[in-house]
Amino acid sequence: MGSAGTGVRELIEAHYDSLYRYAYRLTGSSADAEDLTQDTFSKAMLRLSQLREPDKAKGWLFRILRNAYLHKVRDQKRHRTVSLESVGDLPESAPDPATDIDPGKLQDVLNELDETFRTPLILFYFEDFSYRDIADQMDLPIGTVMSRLARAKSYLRNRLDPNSDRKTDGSRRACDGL
Amino acid sequence: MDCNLARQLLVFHRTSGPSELSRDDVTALNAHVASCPTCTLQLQQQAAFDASITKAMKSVLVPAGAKNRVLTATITKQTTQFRRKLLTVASLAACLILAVGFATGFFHNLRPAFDTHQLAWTNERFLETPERSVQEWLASQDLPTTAPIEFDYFNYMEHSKQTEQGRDVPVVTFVIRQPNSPRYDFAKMYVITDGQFNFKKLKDDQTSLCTVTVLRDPRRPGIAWVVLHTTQTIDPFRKPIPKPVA
Repeated sequence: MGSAGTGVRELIEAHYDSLYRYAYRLTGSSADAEDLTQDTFSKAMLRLSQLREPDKAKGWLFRILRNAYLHKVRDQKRHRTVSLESVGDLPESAPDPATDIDPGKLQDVLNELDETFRTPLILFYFEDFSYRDIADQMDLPIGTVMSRLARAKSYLRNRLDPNSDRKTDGSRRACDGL
Repeated sequence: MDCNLARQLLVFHRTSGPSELSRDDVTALNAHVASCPTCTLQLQQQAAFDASITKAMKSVLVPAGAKNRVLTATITKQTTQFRRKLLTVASLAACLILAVGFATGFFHNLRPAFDTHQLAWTNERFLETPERSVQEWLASQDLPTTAPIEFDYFNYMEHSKQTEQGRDVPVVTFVIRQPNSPRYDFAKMYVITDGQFNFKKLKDDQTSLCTVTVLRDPRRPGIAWVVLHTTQTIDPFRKPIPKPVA
């Protein structure tokens, strides 16, 4: 058990914070994030032999966490999400850069997004994953990732822009195809 | 490069780190931005926006002690699983050892001791009362105890089962001494059933040294007594008819 135990302990020490933050941004809840992170390490422990290259442990753990999250919410469909069909590919306006974005508000906007758009955003901004890394994480072509990311960023801009008429507005959200 | 294309590329341009665009695109974009105040502003706004999002995205407070809780829970779970696995392996090993032990013991018990007393007794019984013993032996195989002719069991030699043409057939052997010769003649009586063989082509036969005589009993159509003998006829092996007392 020695080496395996050490392996898991090292993984937790090295990646717990990143995974927790990722889980929090995915779930929007501290309790869910903690459960999801615990679940991720439990699964990682069982599959530790599959980790051939220790350098790729972080990406491997992120992938396990995302799969665990998808498995958890697949039937729940608890997130009411917006369709991005109505959102243009290019930004219409940018928020005032001098204004700091409220992390809580950001989480609210992230929660509105479908996971297929939320995950690339989180990975892009939070972990500085490259498009290629995100594509690998999500098993998607890189072109699809770029397209989703562009549309998700555009949506973020519009929702977080205090001057935009797309800002938090019940009637607008309802019209966005929730 | 015009502004429209530059704005499209800006969407994929990472301002905070290595760009996702190709080197040529980055060069062309930088050249355009340097000469276009509108796109410069756009780039600055995007950089500021990305920085704000990154900052907000990362401002997640990890609960104190959460890591230790996960560490403890995971290591405990791992230890439990390890013990369970160890227990399973130990149980399997114990089962295997027991199974091998039982199998070995069973195998040893299965092999009977060679009972010399039984061997001697059985043969003695056949020598003492050969006719009755052979009848009992045939009866134990659901075969008729008597043949259509009566053999003289004074000449009884042995009985056994022989494999003939793929079937196990009971055989009773009789031996007589040739007159005025050290040599012997024999007769072997094969008791066969129509469950074993097709009787349609069953008939007497003869070679230079052997003769085959087929005996049938109309009361038992499913049985045939096939007698292989080295004598001209089967008569020397028949029970002699008692001479009437004068």
